[in-house]
Amino acid sequence: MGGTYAAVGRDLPGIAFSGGNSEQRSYTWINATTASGHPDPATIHAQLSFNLVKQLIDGTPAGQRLLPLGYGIK
Amino acid sequence: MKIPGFSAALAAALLFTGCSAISILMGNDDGFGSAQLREFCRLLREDGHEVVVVAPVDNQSGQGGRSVFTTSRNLTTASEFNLVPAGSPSLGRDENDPDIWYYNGTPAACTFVALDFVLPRFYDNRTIDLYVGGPNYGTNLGSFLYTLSGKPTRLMKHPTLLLTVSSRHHGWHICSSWT
Repeated sequence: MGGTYAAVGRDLPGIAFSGGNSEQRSYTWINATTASGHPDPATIHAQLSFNLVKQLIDGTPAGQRLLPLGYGIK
Repeated sequence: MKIPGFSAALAAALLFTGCSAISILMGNDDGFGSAQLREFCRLLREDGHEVVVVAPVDNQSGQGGRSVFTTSRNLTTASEFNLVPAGSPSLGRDENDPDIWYYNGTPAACTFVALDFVLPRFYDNRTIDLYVGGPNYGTNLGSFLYTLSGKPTRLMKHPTLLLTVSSRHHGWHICSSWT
């Protein structure tokens, strides 16, 4: 999360995402399909993170900061 | 992932029409080759946003807010997953994606390198609307993770209690110290 703290400290809106039930894995090992039929866990984590960012972007009027100055989300 | 108390604010904000495409700076703790990071980048780009990634060349989990820059011009060892060979520059681009950069430093250092070097030098000082970190491996719950460095950190000189919590896989690691 240090990267996000640094960004917020430099006046950027910042969001840090973390997820359990994942693993330290290279992007070259992303599976298009899995035995369970669900997407690769990395894709699921990314999709959930994207959904949050998407809501924030779509809900912010044009020209306005995405988060108040000095605020980040964990 | 639901943030308590945030949904109400979002619902109110959704009354407005938002700007559709923004400029994003992305980093992480787990390294620029992380599957989660690359998928997140892909999804944001597919939604029309500009994304520049400047992330650690190796896994930097547990570094907390430490800002550590490399003192070497080149990598002395190959990076995690052998994505970048030894001898490569300490700052460089992914060979398949010019907007994904690696840097041999902590996550915080990567943010500073992005804001003070990469963006001004290579992206015409692009204005960033949002920084996103991760998704990182591990749930990172707790209030003191900024100072997490694998062991308790002495914060104040007077008597104090510090509690840090982290999780890996299915276990929990708790450390505490009294000064």
